[in-house]
Amino acid sequence: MSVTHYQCLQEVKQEIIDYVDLTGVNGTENLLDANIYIWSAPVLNTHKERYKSSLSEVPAIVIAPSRTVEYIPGSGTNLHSDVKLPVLIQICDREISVDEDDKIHSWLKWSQGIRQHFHEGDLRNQVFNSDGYLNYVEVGHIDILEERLFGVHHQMVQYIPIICHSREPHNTSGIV
Amino acid sequence: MPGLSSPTFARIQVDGNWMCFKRIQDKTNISLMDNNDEVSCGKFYHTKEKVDEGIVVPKLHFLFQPSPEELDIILPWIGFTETTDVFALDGAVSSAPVILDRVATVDDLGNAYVDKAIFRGQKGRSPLSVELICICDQVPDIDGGTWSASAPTHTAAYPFHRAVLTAEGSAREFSSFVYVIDNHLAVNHNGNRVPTAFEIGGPGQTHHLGIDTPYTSSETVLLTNPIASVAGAAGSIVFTRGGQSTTFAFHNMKTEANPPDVAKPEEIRLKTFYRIYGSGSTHPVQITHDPVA
Repeated sequence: MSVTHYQCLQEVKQEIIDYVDLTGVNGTENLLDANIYIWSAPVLNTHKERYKSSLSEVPAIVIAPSRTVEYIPGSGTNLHSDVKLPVLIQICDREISVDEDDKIHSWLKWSQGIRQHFHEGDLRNQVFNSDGYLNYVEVGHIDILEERLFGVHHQMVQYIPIICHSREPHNTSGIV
Repeated sequence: MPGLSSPTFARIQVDGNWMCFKRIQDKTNISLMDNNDEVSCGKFYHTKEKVDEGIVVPKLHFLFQPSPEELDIILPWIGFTETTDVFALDGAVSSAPVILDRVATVDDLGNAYVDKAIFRGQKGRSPLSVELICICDQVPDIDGGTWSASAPTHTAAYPFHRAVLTAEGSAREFSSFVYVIDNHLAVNHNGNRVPTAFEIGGPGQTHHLGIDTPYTSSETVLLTNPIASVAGAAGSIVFTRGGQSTTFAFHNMKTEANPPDVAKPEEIRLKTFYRIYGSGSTHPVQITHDPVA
């Protein structure tokens, strides 16, 4: 495959497996590599059935492409344009009682590990191909007051949007 | 109650041709002159001084985003002489008569002599632009002009992505460029209030090209060649669209080696500023321009 956005998803998954410590705090459950999935869309309430069947084990991570990409008009060159490819990383777990401190601690540990790994750097195995190449990665904006997000995304306990900056060639077909 | 005077319908006429423009700014400089004889005797009494207007340097900045057809008008204004689509500079000062139509009134700006011509292109939504910094031979004659140009038939300006840059022998990706023709225009008033004589200033006509490129293995030669040798190299910027094309051919581009910018975390960039030289009878720059679509 040479589609940059798809390669980003695969690379993000592999780097979480390789570089992020996904063990639980104080003996609580570890997040297993086998429970890291690439999905076509984020986990939603409407995905309850799918959630049950696909995420049979939790805690789990779901990596999904955002539906919307953004071009940066002034950035790039005469032959390439820069495009932001958002990737959503969700940490999912079962509902817990309010006093399971170690469990909450684990979620935040995994979330911190993921954002620190990806923020303001390149993917370790950079994506270079004729359809574009990955230039830079940052953690995207999260509205910290938007609690509805957690109502919509069923059993999603942490949410880390990252933005991969890709430089992609102009399609010159048909140009005279 | 008066409304706003919209600039939407304002038009400019250059050498009898109706042009589109992006912006016109008046940068006229008026010297103040103290007529009091007592000043020269050292008897200052400023509260009773009367200060008159002295010499005037009527200066205007014109910003165009010219279509290839309009470039055909602008290049001779700058001083290029055309021989079948080949535009050559002879290093002489040049001008064009300019009329500004504000719809209600038509102003005569006189002959506008080009001091600097600045060509700019950058990645983004704006096409190739040309800014002319001019000095005129009269103060604007308000409502003293006559509009005579007929409506133009223009194609669109060149978008930036139609540009191909050649530097140090090969095509290079770039995100912006600026090319400046500087006449260092010197004016002489010869006892008049407005300038009556215009000539190329002391340094002579100079040409500079600035380019902004990524800094990858494809561009390192832009830095290493100038370090290795001061010989310089030819270069060009070419815009092409269908049958229309404009080639800026630079005879010899020399630059000092400057370290690349590390301004942002995204990428390292190389900004290179060239002085463009001619040799013998070969002028630094020649433009080949075909505006026919």
